[in-house]
Amino acid sequence: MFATVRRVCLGLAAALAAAAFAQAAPRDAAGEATQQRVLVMLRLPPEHLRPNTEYGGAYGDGMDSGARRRVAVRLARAHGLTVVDDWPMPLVGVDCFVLAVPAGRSAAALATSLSAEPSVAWSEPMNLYTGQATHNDPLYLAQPAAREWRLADLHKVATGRNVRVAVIDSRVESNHPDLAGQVAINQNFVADRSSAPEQHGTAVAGIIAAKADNDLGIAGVAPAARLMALRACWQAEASATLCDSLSLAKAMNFAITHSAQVINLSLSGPPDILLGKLVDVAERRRIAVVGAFDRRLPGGGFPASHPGVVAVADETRGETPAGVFAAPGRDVPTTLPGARWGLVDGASFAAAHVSGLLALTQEHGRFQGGRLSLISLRPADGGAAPCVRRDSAIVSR
Amino acid sequence: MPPRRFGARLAAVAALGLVSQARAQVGVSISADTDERFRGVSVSDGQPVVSLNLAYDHPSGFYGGVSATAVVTRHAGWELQGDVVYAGYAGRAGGQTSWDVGVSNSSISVWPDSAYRYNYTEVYAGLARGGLSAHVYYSPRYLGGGAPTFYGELNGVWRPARRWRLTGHAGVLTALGAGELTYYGRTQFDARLGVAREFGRCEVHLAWTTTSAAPYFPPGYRQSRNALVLGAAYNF
Repeated sequence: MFATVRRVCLGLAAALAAAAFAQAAPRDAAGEATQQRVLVMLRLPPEHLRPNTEYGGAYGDGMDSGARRRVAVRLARAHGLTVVDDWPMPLVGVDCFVLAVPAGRSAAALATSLSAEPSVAWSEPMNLYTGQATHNDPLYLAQPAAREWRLADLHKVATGRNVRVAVIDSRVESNHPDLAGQVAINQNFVADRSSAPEQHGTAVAGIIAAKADNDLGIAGVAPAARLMALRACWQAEASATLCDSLSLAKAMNFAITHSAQVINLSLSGPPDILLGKLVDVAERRRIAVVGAFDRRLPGGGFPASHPGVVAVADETRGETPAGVFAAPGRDVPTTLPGARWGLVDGASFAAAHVSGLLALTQEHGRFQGGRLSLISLRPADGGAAPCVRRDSAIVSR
Repeated sequence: MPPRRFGARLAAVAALGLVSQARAQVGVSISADTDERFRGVSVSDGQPVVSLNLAYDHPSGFYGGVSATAVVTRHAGWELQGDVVYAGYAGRAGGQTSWDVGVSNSSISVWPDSAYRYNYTEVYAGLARGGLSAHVYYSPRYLGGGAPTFYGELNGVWRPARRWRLTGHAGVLTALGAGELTYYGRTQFDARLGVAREFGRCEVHLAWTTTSAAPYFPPGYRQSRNALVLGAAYNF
């Protein structure tokens, strides 16, 4: 069964769930597959005099290095490898030879068998070390997801490319510098209200899909996703956003008929039959519906309480109930109307994080049936790599 | 010098190398130089020489080798000029310092009259660290001349770039008693500065060598105090 504390911790595993394409060989920044190499260390004898030849010092003279090279070539031939390079290292008393490993063979296994050779001090596979990924967006480091979810590392695997995420919310400032080009569809289902950009919708849209690496603002969780800004809510006063059943139903209907893959409903209210039926239709079409869990309402309010909806609560507000996911929802930097950025709090914005995450996992195709659920492996310490689980089968670590 | 004796020594060292091939390192090289200057003295009468060198290193620290030289004479073709056989033991003295002790036996033929054959043995000990080493040698009958001699030297190597090598050497030779060649009675100094460039398995080197006084030995040789020696070597 599910763990009692749901924590949506982003890690590489979430994206790996969608990445059915496992990379066979490590790839460097240019995307080139790098050939495996193995290092073979041959002992450097202590420096000594060799009468009738010039003093060579710790590196020895040409005869010494020639002798070692012959040993390395003999070892390489015996194991079907080729000598690529060598570098003497007197500080550790070895001459290091680099041997190329043909594709399909294990560098680790070769290193073990080479280490057993009498003339070899030791052998090890050549390891790759990656630098810590980051985004150049100035506010990136202030984003909780950057740290907790290691967003930049995640983006190496998936960015939610072309995944359609419907933001059913108040008006999104689609020409915001950090959102320009991210909004594919803009619809207004609230007839008699001002259509000026509003805070809530803009903030939610930014969390989901703000442009990454544009030297501005923040990096969205799914910076390559395509937003459907469906305005079904309006800003009533400074910090209150309201929506009604009909506008929401129109927006839901639009989202479903226009092939949204994720629908973000960062709102809560009483259960509604019409909206409930529309959510069911969406789920039957394998659209992920994400709702904000309102702790003040029974069951978290609607749509969070509706079966099949991914309910998300603010992780900083204490224990989340069983079946509810926790995501960053406090002091989240995001886009705000007027080409600004600011901090927001609330389960609405936690839900936006999860919508972005689901967009990442859908980058490489919809889930093939089964209900979607996200569980954590190590709920206690946070930051654990999650896995995406379909029904009872674990899809990935 | 009797080729047979040289051949026997060569075979012994080579055999040792082959037997312990699995763990030991055996180096072979061939080199050619415009002059063979040994401690500042030309032992080839200013004529070019070709040498074959075999070196053996065992992981235990034991090492040995043999080197044979032929003179490319001006008028008489190639002549075997001499050989050196040596064996020693090297160890690490903690950190980057290493020490070695050894013994070498050298034979030199004085061209053109091979009746003048000098054979002498030297024992040596030294320390090395980084690119510097210091050694002391003692020979009871240096160059067969009957005088026990002491030779001390300091060697340095610096690699400013991969494949480049700069070397320096300074040595002092002192006769410790009277003997046939006591013109060595006074202390003699010799120095050498060299540069070498590696090309894969080949290398080319140029060195300037000098001594403090025009050497007397070998008798009849045209000697100069200073010399520029050009050479090349190939490592198998």
